[in-house]
Amino acid sequence: MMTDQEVSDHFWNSVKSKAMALPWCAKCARAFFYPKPICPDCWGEISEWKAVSGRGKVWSHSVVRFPLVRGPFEERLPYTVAFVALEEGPRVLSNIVACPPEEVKGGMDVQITYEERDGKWLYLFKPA
Amino acid sequence: MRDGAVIVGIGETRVGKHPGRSTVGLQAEAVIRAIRDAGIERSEVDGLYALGPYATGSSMHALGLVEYLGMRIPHAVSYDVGGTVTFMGMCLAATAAIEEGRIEVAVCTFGENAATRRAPQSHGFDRKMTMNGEEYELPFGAGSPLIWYGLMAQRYLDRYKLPQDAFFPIALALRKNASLNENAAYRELYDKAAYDKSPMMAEPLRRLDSSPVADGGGAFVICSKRFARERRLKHTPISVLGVGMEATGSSILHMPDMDQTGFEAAGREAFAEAGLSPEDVDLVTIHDGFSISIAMALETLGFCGPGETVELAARGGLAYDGERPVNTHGGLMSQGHVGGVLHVVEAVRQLRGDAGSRQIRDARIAAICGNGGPFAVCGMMLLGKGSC
Repeated sequence: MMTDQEVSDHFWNSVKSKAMALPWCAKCARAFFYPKPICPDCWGEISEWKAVSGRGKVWSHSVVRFPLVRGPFEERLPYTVAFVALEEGPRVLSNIVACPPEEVKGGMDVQITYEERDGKWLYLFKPA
Repeated sequence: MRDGAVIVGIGETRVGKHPGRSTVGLQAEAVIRAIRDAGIERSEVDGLYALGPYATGSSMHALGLVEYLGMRIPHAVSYDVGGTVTFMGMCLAATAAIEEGRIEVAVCTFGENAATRRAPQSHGFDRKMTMNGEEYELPFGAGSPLIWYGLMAQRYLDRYKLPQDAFFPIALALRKNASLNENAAYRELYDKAAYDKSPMMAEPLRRLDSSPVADGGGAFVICSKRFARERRLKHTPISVLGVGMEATGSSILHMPDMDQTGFEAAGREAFAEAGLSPEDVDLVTIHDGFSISIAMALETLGFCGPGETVELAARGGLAYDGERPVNTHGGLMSQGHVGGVLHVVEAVRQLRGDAGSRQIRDARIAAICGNGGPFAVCGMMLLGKGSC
C-alpha cells in the first residue's frame, strides 16, 4: 500500500504537471478527496489515479476580507475561498480566481486552472 | 443496573479578559466553586474529567489539575470529543463509571486563558495542533474557523435565498440575552447600523457574528442518584435524560452539508432515550461559535422549521420569555467563548430556577446542543429537573 507521504506526493505532482488526478477505487467506482492510501468506503487500496476534467460547480464560497490568515494572504485580500464540487463527485477546497469576489455565486460553473504560489503549484478555479 | 446520574453542583469563573490567570488555575477555581455549590467535600469526589486548552497544546492535562488542586483521586481523565459535545461525553463517561459502581461523584470541567495568552494579532484560536487535511486547506488561505463557518453560512443563505445581512437578528438576540447576565463579557446592545459597520471577516460573517475568545472556566458535579438522595444535597438534582452524538470527520475538508451533519442522528438518539420531543424542551443552549451555528442546530434538531431561525430571532423568540429560549446566558457569542461548558452550567441554573432576571418560567427540560470542529461532531444532551 502507498504510504501517506507517497499519496500526497503523487497528488501534488499531478497538480504540478497541470493534470490534477484523484485516487480512484475500482470496487466502489468512485474518486475520493482528500487523497488517502485507502478508500474511505471499502478500506481497499487505491486502484488508480484518474485525471479530473477540471469542470465543477461552486458548492459554497466565502469572500475573506479580514487578515484572518497571517503571511502572504494578508496581501491578497480580498480573496475567495470556495468548495468546488467536481464533475467526478468529490468536493475540493480552493480559491476562485479571475473573477471579482462579488460576482462569485453558489452553483456557478467553474474550470480548473493552475498557478504557482509561494513555490508550490496549486489547483485553482475560474469561471467556466 | 442503569440508574443514571444527576448534576448537583455548578461552578463558573468570571468570563472576559483576566491577565495572569492560567488555564489550570481557571479550571481549578471552577471545580472548587462547583464542589462548594454542591455542598460536598473534595474527599468525596472520585472522578475528574477535564478538557485541556485549545490554544496551546497539552499532555495529560487532567493530571495537572489534580496536582494544582492537591488531590488524590482514582479517576482523573483528560477528555476531548470536540466543542460542547465534550461535556456530553464527560456526562456519559461519568454516568457509566457511576453505574458500574467505580465512582460515586465526578467533576467535569473546562476553562482556558484563551484571550490573554493568545499570540498577538491572532484571531480566534491558534492552530498549533492538526485536525487533518491541512495540506489541502492552508495553501488556499482557508485556515480559520471564520472561513469554515463562512462557507456553511453562505450555503445556508443561498439555499434559503436570504440576504447577506440575514444573521443580524440572531447575533442581536444573543446580545440581548447577555445583557441580562452580569457575567457576560459583551453586554452592550447595538443597532443594525452598528452591525453593518462591524468588520466583515469571511462573508457573510462579520465580527459580530462570531464568538470572541475569553478567559474563563466552568465545571459541574455529577453523581449517583443514591449519593444525591442519601447526602440530602441542597440543590434540586438535574437528571441526564438522554444523550446522542455522532462524529463524521474532523477538518473543513469533510464538513458535511447542512442536512447531513451528525445533528440528525444525535437528536434522534437523545430524544428517543429521553422519550421527549422538541416541543417538550423549555431551553436550548447551543454551541454558538458563529451565528450560523444557531440556525443549523435549531433547524436540524427540529426546534424550528428549515430556514426559519432568522424570523424566529427577529420576533424575539430566542429570549428567555420568547417562544424558543436559546442561550439565555448570551452564549459563546456574547458571554465569551469558554468551550461550551457554561452552556451546561446555564441549563442547570435555569432548571433549578436560579437564573434571576432571565429565568424561564417553569423550566423543566433543557437541551444542550452543539458541535465540535466544522460540524465534525454534533451532539445533544437532554437535562430534566428533579427525579432522584
